Amino acid sequence: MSADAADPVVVKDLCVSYGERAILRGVDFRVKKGEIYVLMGPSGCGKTTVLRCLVGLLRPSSGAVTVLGRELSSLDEDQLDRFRPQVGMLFQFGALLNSMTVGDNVALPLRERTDLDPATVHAIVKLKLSMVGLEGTHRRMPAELSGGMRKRAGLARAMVLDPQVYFFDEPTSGLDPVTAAEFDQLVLTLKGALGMTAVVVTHDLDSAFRIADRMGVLINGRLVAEGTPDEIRRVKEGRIHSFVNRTPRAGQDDREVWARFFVYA
Amino acid sequence: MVLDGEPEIVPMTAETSIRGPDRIVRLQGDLLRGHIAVVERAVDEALLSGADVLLDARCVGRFDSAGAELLVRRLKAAEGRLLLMNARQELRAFLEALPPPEVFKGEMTSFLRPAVADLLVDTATEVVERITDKVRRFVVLFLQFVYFVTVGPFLGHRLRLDRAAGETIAVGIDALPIVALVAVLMGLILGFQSAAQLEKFGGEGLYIFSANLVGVAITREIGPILTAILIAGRSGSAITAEIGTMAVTEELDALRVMGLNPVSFLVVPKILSLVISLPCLVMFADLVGIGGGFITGCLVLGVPFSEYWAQTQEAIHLSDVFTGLAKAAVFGMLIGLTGAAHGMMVRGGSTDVGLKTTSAVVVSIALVICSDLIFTMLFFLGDV
Ligand SMILES: Nc1ncnc2c1ncn2[C@@H]1O[C@H](COP(=O)(O)OP(=O)(O)OP(=O)(O)O)[C@@H](O)[C@H]1O
Ligand SMILES: [Mg+2]
Repeated sequence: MSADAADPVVVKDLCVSYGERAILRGVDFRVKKGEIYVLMGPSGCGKTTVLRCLVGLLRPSSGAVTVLGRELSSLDEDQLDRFRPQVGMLFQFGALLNSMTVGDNVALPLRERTDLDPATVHAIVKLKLSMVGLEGTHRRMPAELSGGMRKRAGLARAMVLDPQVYFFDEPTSGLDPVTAAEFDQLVLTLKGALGMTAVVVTHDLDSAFRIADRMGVLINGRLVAEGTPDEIRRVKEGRIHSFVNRTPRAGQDDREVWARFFVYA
Repeated sequence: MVLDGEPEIVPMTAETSIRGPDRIVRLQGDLLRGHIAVVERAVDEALLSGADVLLDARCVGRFDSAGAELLVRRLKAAEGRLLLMNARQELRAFLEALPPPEVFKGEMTSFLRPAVADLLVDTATEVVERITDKVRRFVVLFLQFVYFVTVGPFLGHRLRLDRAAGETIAVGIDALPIVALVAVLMGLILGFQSAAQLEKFGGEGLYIFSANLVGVAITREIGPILTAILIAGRSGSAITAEIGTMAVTEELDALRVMGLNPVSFLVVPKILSLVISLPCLVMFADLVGIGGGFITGCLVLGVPFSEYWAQTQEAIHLSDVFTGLAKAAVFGMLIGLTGAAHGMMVRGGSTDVGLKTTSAVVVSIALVICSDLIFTMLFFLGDV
């Protein structure tokens, strides 16, 4: 892996703790331009936490996150506000603003960040909504959408400023297989057409192996494996193997606890 | 429900036999919710005999949590007279996961006493920490508000007057009925109260002066304070609930990621709307409250309308009204800041939204009254 200074996403020795609990304990990875990097790992291992650091929503306890050449911890809130429109983030649950219609949600970044005239805004919103299969929903309120539809609307909003780097938090969870496959197709199309760079967090192994150029497996706050999909598939190490091959964790040894029970009984 | 390919449910049978001094209850079948009664009956009978009972679980097939819970409960209740044997590994592991019996028995008092003392110390430190944290957040938010309405617009943070106007209509118009109701009632009450006191000093001839008392009380104090309390309950709580829910659903984070500062985008318009609408509502409350006083004075106490009207005009100075309105603007800002600061403080889930909303209303009412005292003292000292 060549260490190129121009890599859009560089994460170095990232550590995050909530109070006493260390969530990330030294995560390192870099994503090259035009590459789709998939971050996998069991629930609660800190994948969302990594993404929150990548957009500067969370300040790491230590380590450095550099996105598009800017070291995020060196930016103040104002500079972060100006930096963020260059990246697009899809939240795990869509995070649409509930007080606005779907169309206004998608239009919001355009209205706030550009001076396009209303007709152009409307046209762009319609285009983006149709890209995610939500044509005709722009007048509905987020509460009237299903979970999967909200997520797709969130995706349209993330795409509306055509950012250079995307962060997707579980884009396909809660979607039916067909829509999930369409999402994968969309990602691959965007990559082919626009050379987009993306970090995708997912549990969905099918989707992960379809879209990834490279992938990393995050377990217990560390990246325990990294490589191309083929390399990851071939890993034999227990935890990674069982994660990638969907075998359940082995039962825990509870003999000692059981001895205690007899004392009480 | 049994799916294809799963073994059928095996009904439970419990056979009791005698071995030496003990009874053995041999369970056979699935230990499921529906089969509990069989086990209970057999165990009860065996225990009634006075002997110790061994529960043989070798032939227990599947089990569910209700079945396992029954076992733990019976083992505990029998205080050592009932013993479990030959249970399979899975069943034992499950039983183990349920709370062990000893936790419920034993020395509650010795267990609790030091804990209570610790708890008090912990709670006290926590309360102090929480209050300092709140004060800090409140001050920070206030400074941000000042920044965004003064220099912010020149540094690229648009002042969202359109949003503020929308909010103002929501806060103001919708509150009119309740403000009117409370103000007219207060006017009526003040009319009666002042009449009762005036009578002591000089009989019914002094009723006319209730116009002074009602007018001054309403415009200087009651109007602003009552309206502020109503609005704290209506709009302050709504601000906390809305912003708090947005924090829970990651909407605030989504705003930040779009490069929109939640304070400038959400909070400032809401506070501005309160700063604008509260004085308007107070002006309205003043009019309606004086109207209430007039109902008491003219219709009940029989003061002629023209006299009452002239007396009111003479009693109320424009400065009374303006101090009331100035107070209202400050109250509006306090309510908005408190509501928004509490909303931004929400961590975790919907429970915290409820807690912070309650807290916001209580804190903002307390703040309104404190600041009213400060105002009143300033005016009083200034007048003298
Ligand atoms: N605000 C917080 N305070 C304390 N702990 C937190 C907080 N947010 C997350 N955590 C903890 O950090 C860990 C990682 O959370 P994170 O949301 O990053 O997991 P995840 O990998 O995205 O999981 P999932 O796949 O279920 O979304 C979890 O164990 C969670 O309990
Ligand atoms: Mg997550």
